[in-house]
Amino acid sequence: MMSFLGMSRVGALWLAALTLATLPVAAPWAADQPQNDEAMDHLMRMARHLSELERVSVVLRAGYDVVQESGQKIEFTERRAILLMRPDQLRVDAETSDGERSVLVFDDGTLTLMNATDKTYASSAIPGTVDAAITHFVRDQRMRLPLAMLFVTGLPTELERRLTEAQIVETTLIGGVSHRHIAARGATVDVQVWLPETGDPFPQRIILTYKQEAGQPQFWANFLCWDSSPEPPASAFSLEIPADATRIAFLTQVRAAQSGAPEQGETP
Amino acid sequence: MTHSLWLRAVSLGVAALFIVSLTAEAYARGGGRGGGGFGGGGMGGGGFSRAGPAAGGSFSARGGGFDGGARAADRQAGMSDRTAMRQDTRTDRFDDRQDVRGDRQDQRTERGDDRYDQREDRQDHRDEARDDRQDFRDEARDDWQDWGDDDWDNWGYVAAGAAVVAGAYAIGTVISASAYYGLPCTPTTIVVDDFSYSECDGIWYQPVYSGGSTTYIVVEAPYGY
Repeated sequence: MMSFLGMSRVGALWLAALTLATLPVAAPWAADQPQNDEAMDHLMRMARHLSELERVSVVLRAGYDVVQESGQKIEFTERRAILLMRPDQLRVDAETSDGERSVLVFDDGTLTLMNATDKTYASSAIPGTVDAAITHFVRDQRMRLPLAMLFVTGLPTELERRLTEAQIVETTLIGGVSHRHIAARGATVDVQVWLPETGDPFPQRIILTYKQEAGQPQFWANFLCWDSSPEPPASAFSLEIPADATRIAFLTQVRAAQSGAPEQGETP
Repeated sequence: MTHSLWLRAVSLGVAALFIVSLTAEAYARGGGRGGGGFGGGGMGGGGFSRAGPAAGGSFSARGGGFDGGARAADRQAGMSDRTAMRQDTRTDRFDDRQDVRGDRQDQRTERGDDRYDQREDRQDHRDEARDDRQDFRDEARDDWQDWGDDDWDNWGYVAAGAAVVAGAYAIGTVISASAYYGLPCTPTTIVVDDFSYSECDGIWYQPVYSGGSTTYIVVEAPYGY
């Protein structure tokens, strides 16, 4: 029997076939990996930077699609001014496109939400840090706080866990400043982030695509005026409740009271 | 003379069209009003929903796990509410039929008026039922959009969870602000222990923040009431 490097002819043919079959798969992976790593590095640098800030303020203009029952896609917008003073102070002023104005303040272990338009407010006692308050507000009270994950210290871990791949799309100018446009993919949401090429890695724009939802609606936000050393007045975290405002509860508080179940975040 | 009458008729017609168009525009602008809370919940103007998976700006969506228990409880509560409401509606219908029979015996001279009222009631009931079905569909859609697979999923997006149904409400039922303002009577509002409650036809409501909206939950009467 003829042999090739000591192998039988059949063995050599199998080896050749295996090599050919592997090449088309291995080559693109090998080519993409460095860029994937570089894009992910930029995202993680952003995440670490945001999570390590002791204080930060930013204004964001955001919008999101709502796919109506008819299939029509409607966009709503809002403006939010966020002031975060770690470890235990947060203020978010929001105004939605229909004119609703609300303020969320966390200070001294108390989370208070006031709707200035309706003149209503609700409070919840949350011992701990801003992280705990945000988690409680979103998870337990089931309230909206878009992009809240950007403002918790666990952001790097959370992003790392969610995003499976990332690529640099291009370099583009935003306000005359060069930014990397990074596209990352997660299991349920695709993320696009624009990060400055130089300086602090504050995101300038984010788009989230809910790819598994009907109509693939998007959430987008443009960030303005990042400031990592804000000097707010002490009054920034003392919410002035109008005398004619009505105190109400969070739904979860009432539900817990009705069921007799313990509820995180006592009513102060 | 004829020409003058014709001109007058045309002028009146134009004026009427103008008024109709203004009214239509005002109606279109008015529509429903979004709820309060932290924005983004409820219905926008013109009846467009403001709630959806993208409203929360979350980095992930859907899934099960983390909040599955609470979500399942909510679904269960919703189903219980719906079952209770169906039961209530059936009882109401029965009561209505009894009332109608009584009317026939006692107020034969008013039969015509009763029938007219009944027709109006049936029409109202059909309209309400249509609204209810729509609201339930919205609620069901919102339910599965709620939360995700861990603490951070669907950051910020949660449904108003409004279950709007006609007739009497069971304890724990959550109704939207628009349903509350559409109650058949003007609620009487009181403040107990610093919290606001309102009563309408013997049913007590408490305003609450839920999702991105101010909604109303049916509660037991406050102590002493």
